[in-house]
Amino acid sequence: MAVAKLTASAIQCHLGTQLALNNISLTAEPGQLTGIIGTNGAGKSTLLSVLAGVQSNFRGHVSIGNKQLEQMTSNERARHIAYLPQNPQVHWDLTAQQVTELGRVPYRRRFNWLGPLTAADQQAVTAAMAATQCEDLAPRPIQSLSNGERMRVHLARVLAVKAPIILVDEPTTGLDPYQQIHCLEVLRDEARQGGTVVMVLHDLDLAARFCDQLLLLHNNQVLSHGSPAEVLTPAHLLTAYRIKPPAGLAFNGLNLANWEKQTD
Amino acid sequence: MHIGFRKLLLLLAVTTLCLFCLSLMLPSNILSTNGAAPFLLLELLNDDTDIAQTILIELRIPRATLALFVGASLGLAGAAMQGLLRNPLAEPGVVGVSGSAALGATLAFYTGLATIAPLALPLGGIAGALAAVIVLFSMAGKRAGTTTLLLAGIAINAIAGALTALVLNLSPNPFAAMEIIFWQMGSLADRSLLHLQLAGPLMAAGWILILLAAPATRALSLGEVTAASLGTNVRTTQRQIIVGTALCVGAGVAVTGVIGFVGLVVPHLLRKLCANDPAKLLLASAGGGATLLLAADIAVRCIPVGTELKLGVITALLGAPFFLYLIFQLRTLEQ
Repeated sequence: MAVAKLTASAIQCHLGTQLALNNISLTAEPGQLTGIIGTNGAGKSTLLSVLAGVQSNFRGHVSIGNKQLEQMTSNERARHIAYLPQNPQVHWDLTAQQVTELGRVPYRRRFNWLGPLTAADQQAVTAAMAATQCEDLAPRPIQSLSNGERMRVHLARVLAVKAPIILVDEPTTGLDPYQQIHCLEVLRDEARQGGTVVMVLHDLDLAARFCDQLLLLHNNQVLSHGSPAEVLTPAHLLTAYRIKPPAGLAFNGLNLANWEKQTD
Repeated sequence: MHIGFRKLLLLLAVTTLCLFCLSLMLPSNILSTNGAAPFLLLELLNDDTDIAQTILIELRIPRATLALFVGASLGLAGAAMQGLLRNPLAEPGVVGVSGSAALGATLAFYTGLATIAPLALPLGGIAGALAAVIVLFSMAGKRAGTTTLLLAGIAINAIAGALTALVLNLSPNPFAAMEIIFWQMGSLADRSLLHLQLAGPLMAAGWILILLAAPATRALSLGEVTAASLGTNVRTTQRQIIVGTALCVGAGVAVTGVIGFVGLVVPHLLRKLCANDPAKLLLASAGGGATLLLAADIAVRCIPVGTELKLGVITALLGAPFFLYLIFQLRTLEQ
């Protein structure tokens, strides 16, 4: 797997008449797990879709290594970026195995669509399903799975692409605590093996624990950018999320379960 | 039941071939074999007269070939529309594409264009079908719930029906109107080599377009955004399927009238055998459609009633209850 740095500069994006992203820049390095955090509607998912190259309506530049995204063919881009959108869907009742195999679409030859997967494809699919602990789900129809199980299959589909850049939007949605931790460990492993991983995450405790750098979005702009310790300060969290540490207690680490809403 | 996809295709091909040969052997109405004219293929082959040759070339071959072509087109178009709209109830007849194609062809008849330039007939059908698919896709293409899709279908069918009724109403010649009504019921009887020459290449062009889009329908089962991220050109794929469907249904309906429900029943029966793979389903549905229509056309010729039953009447009689059953099934699933 080649390594590739992902750079976005001065991204401006409108969704309809609404400004969704205002002058956002980001560099995600190979080997690092980058987290995008912020309140609902802050622009996290829009930013990720811009990075993934599936959002055409924006200004600014996204590049992989030193090549701009728009100069790549769609297939070249698909081999470089594996993307898991928010609320992933499957419209036909495919099995978990078939869904994971769709991760190999960028590698299939156009006129060999009836033939079986190549050995390399098969290997990537098997490895991805093993990594997300989906082997047992393989023969089951996707519609028969629980939300958390489906999410794991989608994550397997993303890993099966074996792309140097992995963009995932709330990959822990619906997962039980064990699987949440496992999911983030898998993504961290991908990063440690040279992958560039960017994810949107709501759970700040998990973000603090696993991410190498965080981007905190607020009102469609970057409020703070840096290591978790730099970003997750009481002042930033008060501005962005309107939450504060419990009264009378000193701030030591996050442990958000104890936090309180800001009262005006 | 579990058989490999290659075996399934082989089975469909062999069945289609057998039915094609059987279709060549049968007269247009089994009852009339009491008459004096040579009918069964063996008699035809033993008969060296020009009549025998004429019957084979002018009647039997066009009829059997049209059944094959139109059946394949309808099966393929049904599976393609289901892939495009991501709904198993999307079928050219049900959602009004066939009705609009019939309107287009009727207009070509009525205005006399079809008499001046015979190609106007399939082109009229294609124009009608294309308009319907585009309207349908813009209404139900993004996140089509079953309800939106079916309501859009009802509306398109109503508009096409109203305009067709208007054309019939304004027709100065009651016999011409009668002829149009019978034609609309859908049949392969008395179709000539000319019909095949007119519609055949256009249907084949539709098949090619749809099959070019086939691999992309797989990625599209994950939705447009994910498909795009996997390198699929979503717009191109959608356009290929829209135009391909219009070519298949438009050209087919223009020469045979409306033969409904083939595109609904065939993909439904074959979907499990194709492991729900939308790309494989396209190919299998073409074979299944051809098999079904050849068989149905043989059946209408063998059912001993005085007047020949129209093919479209038979497919509707069998297909409509099946449609109701599918809606019922989906309703329980969605609850």
